[in-house]
Amino acid sequence: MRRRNFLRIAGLGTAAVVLPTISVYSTSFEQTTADLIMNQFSFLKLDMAGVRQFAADYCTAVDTNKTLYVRTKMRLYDLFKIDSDRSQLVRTITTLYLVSTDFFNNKMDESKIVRYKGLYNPYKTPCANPFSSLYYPVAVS
Amino acid sequence: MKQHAYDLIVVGTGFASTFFLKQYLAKAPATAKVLVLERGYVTPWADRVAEKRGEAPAAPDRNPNYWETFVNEQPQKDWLFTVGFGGSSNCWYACTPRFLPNDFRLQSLYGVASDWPVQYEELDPYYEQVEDLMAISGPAETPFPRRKPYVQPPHLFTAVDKILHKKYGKLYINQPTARARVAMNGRNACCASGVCSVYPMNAKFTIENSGFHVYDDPRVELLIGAQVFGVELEGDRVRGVRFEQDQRDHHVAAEVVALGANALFNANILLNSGDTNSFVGRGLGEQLGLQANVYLDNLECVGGSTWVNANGYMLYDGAHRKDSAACLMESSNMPFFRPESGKWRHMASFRMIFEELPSADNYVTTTADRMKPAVYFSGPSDYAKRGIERMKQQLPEILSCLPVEKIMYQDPYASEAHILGTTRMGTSAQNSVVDKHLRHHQYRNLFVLGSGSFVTYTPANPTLTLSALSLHAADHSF
Repeated sequence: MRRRNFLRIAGLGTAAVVLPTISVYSTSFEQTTADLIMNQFSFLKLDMAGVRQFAADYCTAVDTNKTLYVRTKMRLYDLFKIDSDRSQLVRTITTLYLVSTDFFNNKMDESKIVRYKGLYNPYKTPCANPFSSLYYPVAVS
Repeated sequence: MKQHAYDLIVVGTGFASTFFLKQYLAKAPATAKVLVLERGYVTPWADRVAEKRGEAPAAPDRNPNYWETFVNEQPQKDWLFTVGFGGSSNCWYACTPRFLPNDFRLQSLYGVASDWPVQYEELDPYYEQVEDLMAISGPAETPFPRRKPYVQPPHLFTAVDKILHKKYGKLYINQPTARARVAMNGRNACCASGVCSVYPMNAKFTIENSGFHVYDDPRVELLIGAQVFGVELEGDRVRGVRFEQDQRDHHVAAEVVALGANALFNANILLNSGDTNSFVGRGLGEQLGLQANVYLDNLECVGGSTWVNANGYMLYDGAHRKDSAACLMESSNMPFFRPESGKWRHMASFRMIFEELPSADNYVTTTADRMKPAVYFSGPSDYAKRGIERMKQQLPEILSCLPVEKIMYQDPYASEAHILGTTRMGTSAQNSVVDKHLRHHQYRNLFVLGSGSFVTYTPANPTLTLSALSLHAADHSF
């Protein structure tokens, strides 16, 4: 077999193995994101379809240059149940999730189902910091 | 270019260049000819916000990503800035505390590093001028002396800030900031969105919204997409500037040249040009910062009207600086929370920022690509590390006026987004590159502006001071 043909076939073979692996890994990344959220907020009533949609939106939005690094860390955190007290990454993701829901619109009422509204974008909804003086005027600021 | 020779050539359009040019134009005759060379392009604030919203900007951003413009030999250490018209005014977070008077005298007071050749009292009127021009928001009392109130009222404290201010008085203050408290000068009030790098409310001061109009002045010609790679040195004078535009090399002559690129590129330009001063490029540095999350027992940390509400100076100045770094506290007001039932905001968050000192192990050099400097950084100093340890020992006592449950520290950030010290100022060429008026010790018609001139790296944010240094330099030199 000529070397070029061998490389071509070997390359296709490698792709045949790697591409499904990437796909599975991608699905797993979303699941890992969802698991981290469910672990962190196990005491809240979460809209599970919303959690999965957030995970999908987050994984689409994450910086592709950092994806492998972030994925590896997140899988480890999920495996060892690392929460936001021990990981800034977990704190960042779980914070992003909760500000992307109606939780703060409902004044942190933990008896209500927490529903995902769409990935939080402070440029589309500026002034939405739920703890700022806009929402806690005069009496406390 | 309209001319072959200019009275003044300014390189860059960021804070250092713009404040220098503003003061120069205030004193220059109507016949003055000024050329400004900006390597980047104009990307209006509205286009930056549109991109963040996922919308199509009016015009595509032609500016390169900052990380593509230099070779970072230690990528784990980041050096953040923005390329384009207005420089890093487009990405700064607009924190504007002054330095303390003692920051300028570390050697005299504490036997550390070197004193600055310029002192607080000399800069005071220029600090005041910059604060007025930026319409700074700040409190009546500060740990650094001021002669009059800030233009804007202070931002609001959180409940936690109020307690700390009550205990520490002027050592714990509303942060002086160019994030507007009230709408003014075409800027809106800040509303604590926490994404100040591109401000959704256009609340922070930028060169674009400054209202200075220096680049519209009829004496000024602005060339964009023009990257300077060298100055022409002849004897003890600079004769002109070499730059690239539209993939062609150009040359232009000048009576005076002012380099106002950032501290990586000012050094690269001088090194490309054959400047033999041994301090050029040496001493690159910035502060070291880390986050401290504090859980509180039944105390809600709510309120606050901006991203950083307060600065704490309790760990900043004192005899400890003989051995360990000063630390400045920033009280954060991001939408952080504590993920526990019923305790959502029973938490405070502080960014602890540590002073650094220049080291010869951290430096900028040229590469085969004349446009791209290489950056070498050996890591934080022992002085800064000891500052962190001291902070961790003392913070529980400092916060004892709060019902603290626990304090959690994160790893240091990869960058504080400040680039300092590659063209430091001093009393002679034996210890520095420029004098206190930012004039090169050898080439007296060459100014090297910006935070590259900093002698030591106090924890206070650098922009207010580098802007005041530009005003001071132009005022005393023309």
